[in-house]
Amino acid sequence: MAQKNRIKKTRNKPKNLNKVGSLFAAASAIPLLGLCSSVCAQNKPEPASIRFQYAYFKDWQAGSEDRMTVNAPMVLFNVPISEKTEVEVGFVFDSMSGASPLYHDTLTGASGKGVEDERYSADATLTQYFDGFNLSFGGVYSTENDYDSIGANLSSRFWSSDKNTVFLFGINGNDDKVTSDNNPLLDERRDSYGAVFGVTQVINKNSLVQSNFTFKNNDGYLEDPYKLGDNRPESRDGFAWLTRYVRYLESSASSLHLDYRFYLDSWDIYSHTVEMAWYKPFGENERWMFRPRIRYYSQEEAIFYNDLDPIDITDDRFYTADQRLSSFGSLGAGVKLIRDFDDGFSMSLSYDFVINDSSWTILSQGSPNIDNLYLSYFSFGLHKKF
Amino acid sequence: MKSNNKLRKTWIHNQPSYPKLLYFLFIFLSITILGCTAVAPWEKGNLSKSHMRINPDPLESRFHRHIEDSREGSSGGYGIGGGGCGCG
Repeated sequence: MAQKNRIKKTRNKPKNLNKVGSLFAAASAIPLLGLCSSVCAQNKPEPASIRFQYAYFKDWQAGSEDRMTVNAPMVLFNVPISEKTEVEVGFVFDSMSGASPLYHDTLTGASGKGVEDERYSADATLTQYFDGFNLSFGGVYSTENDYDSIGANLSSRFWSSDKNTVFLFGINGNDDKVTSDNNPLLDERRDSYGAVFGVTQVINKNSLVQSNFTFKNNDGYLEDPYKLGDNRPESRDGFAWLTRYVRYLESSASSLHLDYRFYLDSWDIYSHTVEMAWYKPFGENERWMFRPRIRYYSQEEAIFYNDLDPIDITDDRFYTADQRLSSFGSLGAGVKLIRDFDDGFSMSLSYDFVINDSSWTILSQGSPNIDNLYLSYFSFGLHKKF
Repeated sequence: MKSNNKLRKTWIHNQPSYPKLLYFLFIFLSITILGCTAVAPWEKGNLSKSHMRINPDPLESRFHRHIEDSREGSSGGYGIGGGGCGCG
């Protein structure tokens, strides 16, 4: 009976799914960009480098100060092991503490129980370069108290003879395991696979554009085990189309980065993201760099999002009160300062502040009864090129 | 499992027309193609600057994507790879 209901609800679904088909069709037109004869090709191994970053993140909303705090040191190595081969290895250690999602969760409220968790993540990618193309194979592993993930990916880049056009094709798959701190019986699987197709094109001597189209499918247990009454479909397909434009501004000897992403999925969530950053070198020998950035995000809610109290949900309908799946807008701004030293060494400091407000959507009124969420993050970085 | 199969069928059958995005993409492609000029290697001085890379700081953007993916309902577009939750 439960399954029948699910099927019925699926049938009545998403008018927005219609958009996906044409988005897919639209993406197939992207290769036309390759007609342009004029890059940017990552056509050989990059010089060896080490990047280190220490990031501190916290978010909060009314009635819940410092809802979640994350300390995350991370490091990324890039090592050419021959003229035609390079390896990239990354490590992340997240230390999380706080009260986890405020809205109708099972960790805050009556029990007052908080969250303490640590996540360790490692990834490695091996890239081999050939004439006119490269081939990359990567693996990623991540583990924390209530979530384990293992994944692999394969991708390839092809570039034109003048290296002004680059095509990207890639696939990946992840096998995840979901458990819960407050339900020892929970032991579920979540699998995902995805594909990317993209093109990067030099437009002229001062600008270039990249357009990526990605598809992702998640299957299995997609609920949030910390949300009361959370009941989601067992499958989710998502499409994202990202276009990035970079322009060198000769008058100010700086560069402007403009990104736009459209996202749509089978839960009827769709979103628009616009991001803009300006890189301005200054000082003696341009050893300093100032980079302000601004980001706006607007999302429409999942079809089964509902702000009813979970105790009022008495049937087996799809239901979530997770505000991440609600309609809201988000506005963020940040600054970064980078200082180059001798011998390829540089340091950076950045700060970003973000407000998620349900009334800031562009296409609807937003989901009601949700407090604003505030996010703040800071990072300190070191980069050494050899 | 049945429900998942059904979802996929619905997905496939619902793919016909929604032309607006297509138009938008065609306009974008046309502007890009018309605006392209052949750029020789010796003209790539500006393009080769570190801040002219599509992704000048890969580590910072990894962190940003991770935070955004865990606080929003959307993800993707930036490539493939990654793993884990760390959602909070």
